[in-house]
Amino acid sequence: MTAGPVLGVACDYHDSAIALVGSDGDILFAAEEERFSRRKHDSRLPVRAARIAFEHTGVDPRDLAAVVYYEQPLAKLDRLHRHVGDDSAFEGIVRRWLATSRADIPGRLSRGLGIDRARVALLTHHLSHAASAFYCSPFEEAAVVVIDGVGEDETVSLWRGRGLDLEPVASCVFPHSLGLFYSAFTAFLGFEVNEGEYKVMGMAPFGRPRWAEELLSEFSFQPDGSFRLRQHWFDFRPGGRLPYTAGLAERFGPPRPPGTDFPQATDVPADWQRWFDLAASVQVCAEEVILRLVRDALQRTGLDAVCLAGGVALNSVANGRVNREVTSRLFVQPAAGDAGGALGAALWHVHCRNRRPRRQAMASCALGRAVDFEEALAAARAGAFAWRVLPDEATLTSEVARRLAAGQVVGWVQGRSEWGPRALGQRSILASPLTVEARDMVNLKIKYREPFRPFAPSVTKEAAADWFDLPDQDLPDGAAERFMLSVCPVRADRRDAIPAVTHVDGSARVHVVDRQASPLYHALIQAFGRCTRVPVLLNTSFNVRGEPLVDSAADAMLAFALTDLDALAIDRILVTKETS
Amino acid sequence: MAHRVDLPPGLRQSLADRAVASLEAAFGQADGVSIAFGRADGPVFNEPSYGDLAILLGQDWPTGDQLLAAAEAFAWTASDLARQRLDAWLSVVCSSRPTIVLWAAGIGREPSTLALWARMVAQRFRYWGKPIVVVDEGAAITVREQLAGGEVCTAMPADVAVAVLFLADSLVVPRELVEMAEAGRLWAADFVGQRLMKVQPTATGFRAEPDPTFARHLETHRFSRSAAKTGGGRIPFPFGDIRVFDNLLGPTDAFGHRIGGPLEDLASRTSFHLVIAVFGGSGAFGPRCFHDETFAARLERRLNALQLRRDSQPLRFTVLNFGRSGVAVLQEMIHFLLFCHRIRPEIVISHSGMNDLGLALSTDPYLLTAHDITYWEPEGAEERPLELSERDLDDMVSTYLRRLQQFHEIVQASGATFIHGLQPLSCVKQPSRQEKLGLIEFLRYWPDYRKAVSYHPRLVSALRRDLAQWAAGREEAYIDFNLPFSARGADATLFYDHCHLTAEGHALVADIYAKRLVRLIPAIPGRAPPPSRPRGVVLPDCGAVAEMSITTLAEAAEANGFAELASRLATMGTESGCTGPVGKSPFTYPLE
Repeated sequence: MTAGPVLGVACDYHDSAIALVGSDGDILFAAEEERFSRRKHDSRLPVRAARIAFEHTGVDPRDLAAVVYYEQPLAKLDRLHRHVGDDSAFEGIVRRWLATSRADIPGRLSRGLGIDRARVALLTHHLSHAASAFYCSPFEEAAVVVIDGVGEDETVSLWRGRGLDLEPVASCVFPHSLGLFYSAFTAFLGFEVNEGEYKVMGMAPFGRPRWAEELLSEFSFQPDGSFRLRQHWFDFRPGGRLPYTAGLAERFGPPRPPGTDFPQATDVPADWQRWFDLAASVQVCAEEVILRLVRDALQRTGLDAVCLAGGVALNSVANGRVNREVTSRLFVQPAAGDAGGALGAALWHVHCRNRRPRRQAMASCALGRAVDFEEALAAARAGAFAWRVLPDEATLTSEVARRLAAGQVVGWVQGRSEWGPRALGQRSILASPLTVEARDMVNLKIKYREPFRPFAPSVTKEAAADWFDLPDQDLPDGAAERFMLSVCPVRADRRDAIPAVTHVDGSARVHVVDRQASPLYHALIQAFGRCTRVPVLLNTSFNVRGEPLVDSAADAMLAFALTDLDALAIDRILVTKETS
Repeated sequence: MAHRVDLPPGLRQSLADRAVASLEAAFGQADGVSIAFGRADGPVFNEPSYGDLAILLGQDWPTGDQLLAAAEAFAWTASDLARQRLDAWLSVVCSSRPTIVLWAAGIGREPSTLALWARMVAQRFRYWGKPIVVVDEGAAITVREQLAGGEVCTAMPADVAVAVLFLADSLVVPRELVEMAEAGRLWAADFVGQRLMKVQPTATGFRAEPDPTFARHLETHRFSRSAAKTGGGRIPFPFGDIRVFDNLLGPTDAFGHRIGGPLEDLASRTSFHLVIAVFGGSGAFGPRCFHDETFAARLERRLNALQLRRDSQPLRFTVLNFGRSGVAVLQEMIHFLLFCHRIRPEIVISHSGMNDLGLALSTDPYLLTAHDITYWEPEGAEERPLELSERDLDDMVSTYLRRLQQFHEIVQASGATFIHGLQPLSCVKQPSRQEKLGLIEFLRYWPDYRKAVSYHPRLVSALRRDLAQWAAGREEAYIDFNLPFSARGADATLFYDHCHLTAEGHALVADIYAKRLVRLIPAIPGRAPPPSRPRGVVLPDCGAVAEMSITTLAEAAEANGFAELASRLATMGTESGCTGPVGKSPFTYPLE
């Protein structure tokens, strides 16, 4: 056994990422490649992220004990070979694999990072996911449920986590996939697969789930814990076919053309209502399947805690129901999608293989690159906007809170960037939740996105129960609300007070901010609370349309220039568009 | 014989607006009919040289009268022959609905661009009831994903009545399409971004059979022939690289320079005929602008319009645009050495800055710092980070200044006058709405540039500071274009994106160069003819070697226990004959 840090790597499908874990299990650095390449969902070998991780941590890549890749490419190619439609499609796949040396992961990592290829090892896709959830959770023992599109063959897997070990319990294999089921309807509803799933989730509250039962009847659950999904509406074969057949349109009417403008609330055309109803039905169906899988997992393992991972675990509405209806002992790894596989692969190597004791539960996902004062100063000097240095953090929070209370929209870039898709007060766009005008401003002039998309609230941990109906008001480390991964109702008597973050069904994807985990952001929300008596902020990811979250101060300055943001706080520097 | 439809002079400037207005007038009143896109005030996309999309009509086919009205509106595009073809086309489409042909050749195309086309097609034609033909296997995958239910096929239906063609940058055109074009049944529209430029029979758009007069440079030499078969035309050349392609916005020569005519006569010109050679990157080349909209072409017109005289003889000016996208001063110098020794220009302009620093961001640190070498990152070298630190910035600027000084000295040694223009970047200017949208779209379609663009304010600041020092004592040799551009307000749209100029931007650059040259020209003597050029040598062809062959992949599958997969791969390799390079030992996976 070689001592030293371990690098986990995920790439080649979507959202490539690295995670650098110390030999004692501390997560030293974790980031998606897209933050540095500025290419959304970048799937290429994450060499930029790795090099920045080495630079940030001082780890010499030659000292790595191992580099663990999150899946087995040849097993994946074998599945493609078994399921592909015809020879020409398979030839196309092979041609692309050859052109990119995709199967030769050790060789590519060796060339890209200068790592000895003998130190490269490969885990399986679902085990990487499971490890990412279990080893970051606060639970000594837990059932682990992984749900995604497909890994090598598995689409759902159930594990028993105990101490340092993960033991497989049950699984479901391709093409019977809840993730692909959801993605097929994502495409049918005119959104991009692997990108638009959360838009379907956002559309759902506008519809009536009139087909939920029918959709649910397409799943048949087996005694071994797996399920089968009838395939007559779907075509998940690789090779470029749509993920659904003509039968889907025969049953549910024509699909929604991509890019169609969202209708006004007062005048919803019949087609749109049908699409809303379908989104609602798909969402409810998915929730029911997830609830059933989780209940089954707990029953089979005899445990009362559950960890979720895989892309489907980013469905925060479903997570909210698990939280309320099954068990409040729930942990969802913040980067639950494929990026998280990098973290899981590294953690598995340290804890399971090297038998190093587990660390405390993940309390913060500020695991990326840090922006410091010097970088902020250089970015401000290079820009064309007015800026000034604030003397201390107290002035910073009171000044930004005052602007937010006055209706301004502010970019907020502080410390290390977030791991996972959610902005949690490190790279956020912030606004007042008190009026819908701020929400519309952010939607239309800053994020340039569909008007139905809801915004999330950030609330201090102390005030959370006053504003939201939370399943567990203790909100321990690892609680899904700490990572904006669970939807809960806004308290009925508070909905009118924070309309900008209350979705049409009265829910919110709440982000509870802990003083110890995020002291500066916590102080900002408190300062806003002192101005308005509402310790809640509208919090959305800081990016420009089609771009990943900003990472560096320069990224933030560019986004600031390209949008109608009023102010930008980077470290202690406040940049504004006011003329001096 | 291919036929080319040229636009009458004077119409190019407002062509897009006129086209959209004409189409809206023709189709705007019909139910369900609208222009798919083409608004001149919409966001622009990058990729200057190729048309993007040719869908002009809406979901419900318009009446014959409306189509004929459109034909009238399009009269400005067409020669007599083209009008005849348009009439023939209209007579066919009035009686039957067309099949839409998306010719989305994947070579060199961004997947996002393909997706964009497909989305637009899907929206407009999804209920058409006719198959959409995608003449590209690779693109068909994307198109199928995007069409969401529309029928897609990759073979040309026998009963196709007429097709609307999407121009792309492929060189391989199926025979069926060529036959349709020859029968006058196929039309193409050239778009620059979303701006409709012209509509014409597609025969002239086929790179496989390029217009013999317009695109003959593609066949000039072995490297131009090879370049013409690549996606973007860029190809290794024994002395750096060249980019040769069929530029729909004006002629280029056999090395990708925007020079339309032969240069032989210039070698023996009189001393009253001055030649100005403009070097630079795309900022000089002028993507998205017609040939006569570039600052080089404008400068030539302006100088000649001044009717300057020397010894009572009228002076004549020729401005040659050696601008090529993606080159730094080092490559400018190489092309100066290669192509100007016979012409011997009196004045050499290096209009640059952006590429030197942009390329330096991804240049190997040793080559940059030890040898002042910058280069265009080769294909597949995706794994080099773009990071900027103070040390890097100083290195980059120093490298640039040393190469600029070298170019200056070489030009001076040749007896010519050197001018360096620091090209403007959009970050120095209060952006107009169109500039803002243009930059957003650019960054969306070219995400690799996001980081580099975010550095621009620092880069410009450092460059301007150090260039001011460089220019001390030789002020006439230096123009900082960031100054006049920063003085223009948000009401002026001078940039298409982060650095490329609109026609208006090019006009401003030309004005400033013209003013400087008018001051300098009295002191610049004419040149004597150069010695004749020696013959060149033939060099071996260059080819890429794949990292991995199908044989090694099959062996790896076998070694890792995937016997059935290994067998299929081995069969594929045998049947296709594409076993690729051999000699690598199969690898096995160190499974956990």
